[in-house]
Amino acid sequence: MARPEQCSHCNKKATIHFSQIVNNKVYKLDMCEECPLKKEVIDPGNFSISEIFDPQPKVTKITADNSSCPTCGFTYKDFEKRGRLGCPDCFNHFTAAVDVIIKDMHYGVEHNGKAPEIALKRVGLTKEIRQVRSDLDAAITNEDFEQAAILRDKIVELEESMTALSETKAS
Amino acid sequence: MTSINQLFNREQSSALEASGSQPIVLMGRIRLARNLNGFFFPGWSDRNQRERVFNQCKQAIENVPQISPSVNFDIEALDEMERMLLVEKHLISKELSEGQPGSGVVIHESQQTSIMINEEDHLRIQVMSPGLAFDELWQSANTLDDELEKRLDYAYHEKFGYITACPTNLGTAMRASAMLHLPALVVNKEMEKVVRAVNQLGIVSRGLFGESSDPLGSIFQISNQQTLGETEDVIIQRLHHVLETIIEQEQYARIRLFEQDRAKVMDRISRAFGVLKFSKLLSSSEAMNLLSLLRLASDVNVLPVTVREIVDSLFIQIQPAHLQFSNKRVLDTEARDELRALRVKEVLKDIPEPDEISLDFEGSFNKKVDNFDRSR
Ligand SMILES: [Zn+2]
Ligand SMILES: [Zn+2]
Repeated sequence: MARPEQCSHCNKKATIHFSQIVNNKVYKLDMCEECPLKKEVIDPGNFSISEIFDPQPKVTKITADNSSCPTCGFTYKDFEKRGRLGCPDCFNHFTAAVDVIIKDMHYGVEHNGKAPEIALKRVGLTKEIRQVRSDLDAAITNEDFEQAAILRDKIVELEESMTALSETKAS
Repeated sequence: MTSINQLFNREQSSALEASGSQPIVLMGRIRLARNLNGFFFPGWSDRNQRERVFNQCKQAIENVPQISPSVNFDIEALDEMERMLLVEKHLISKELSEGQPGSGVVIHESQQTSIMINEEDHLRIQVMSPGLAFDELWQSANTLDDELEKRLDYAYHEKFGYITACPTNLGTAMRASAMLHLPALVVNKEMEKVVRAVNQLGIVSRGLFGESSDPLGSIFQISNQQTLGETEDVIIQRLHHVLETIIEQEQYARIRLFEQDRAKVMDRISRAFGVLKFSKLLSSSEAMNLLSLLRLASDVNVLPVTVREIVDSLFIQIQPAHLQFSNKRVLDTEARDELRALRVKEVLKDIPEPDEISLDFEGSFNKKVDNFDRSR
């Protein structure tokens, strides 16, 4: 594609053409000789062309990283292509991206309806176990072995409750 | 094949064909999407994983009293015609009918409840019935869901709610919808306005068979768009309110239509009746559009009230797969059109011709419209 003849800013004849890549996206700017934009571009500083085009850069671009879901290998590119995610864990990995998408999609950003009782208990337990584990690490670092022993028992207890939850299902 | 026959060759009929038909409203439906922890979504997983999900779900569903007795189908075990038969009955989606290995459906004998396995999500629970019985529909879907949750490890996120493959369904993962028959709004060219208005309320409208098809027979599917941020009750109430408004608009449009263009609309109804009774070849879209006029005539007492149920049943029975299934063989388009014309003629043979003398809005409209100022 040929570069535009006109300045992106003031529609005079464009003589300066400038490209910048931000977050994997190419931004192009065409300027005339006297353009007020020229000063900003040539001046050192935090300027980036993306700010001229997207005064509030969309977070979707920031999340366009190359990482993939550790559980299923799904990438953000896959999501852009398919409009669906790969597995339930993707929602923990791509939380920031999902947060942005659902803002324009739904009435709210947080679930407010029915919740599955057992799944909720599991979520609660998982969180608690995570917390106690990190407390345990701290206790060990501080050489507070008495406290560490108590926390270890607590973890065993919580893990047993977790197992009991799954057994309810089998019945 | 045996179980398809078992399911459909008895007197049982699907929600659309069931008795209890009402003016304007064909049926209501609630659909819940659910997924299991520890498995990739159906579109991202391989055959092996999908089969494991399929078997696990099938086993869980079998033990749930709310959906028994039931039959289940592995989609690959069904031929093209059988899959289309289930689509025409609204028991499975087009997407499921495409036959991805390791997917299938469990259908309650009543044909008003079905659970698709490995469609876009691991589970799509669906309950439908004639009329707008959303309270009952929600109650059955909710109870069924509770029972399944006891047996399956649902994926749930404290913030996003029920996890779904597509972010558009997050939260309640519930889609409530109604199928409405809106011929007067279509004839009066007011439908576009209605669609725009409901869109602003987060309600979407589309044709009878899927996302973007033409409004065949002036039948529209109207459903909530948003699923996250509100309770199921609030979503259902808003939809219900919008539906009532649309129904009221259709009622006014009918009164306007018959008062301003009586000769013209009676002519259209009578011609439809004539074509349906005397043609030799009927395409399914032509039949749908003509039958739509008979349903309207029945609602306003220009034809007997019983015609409405006949039309609702024909809406399903004249679809290509239904015709072929009842005829027990595959038919080409012309043979189908011929058989369709024959079927319709046979069903309508004892129906008296449309008569405007008996035109009456009161009997078929709800109380709100009884107060409508006819002198306007
Ligand atoms: Zn310029
Ligand atoms: Zn994943």
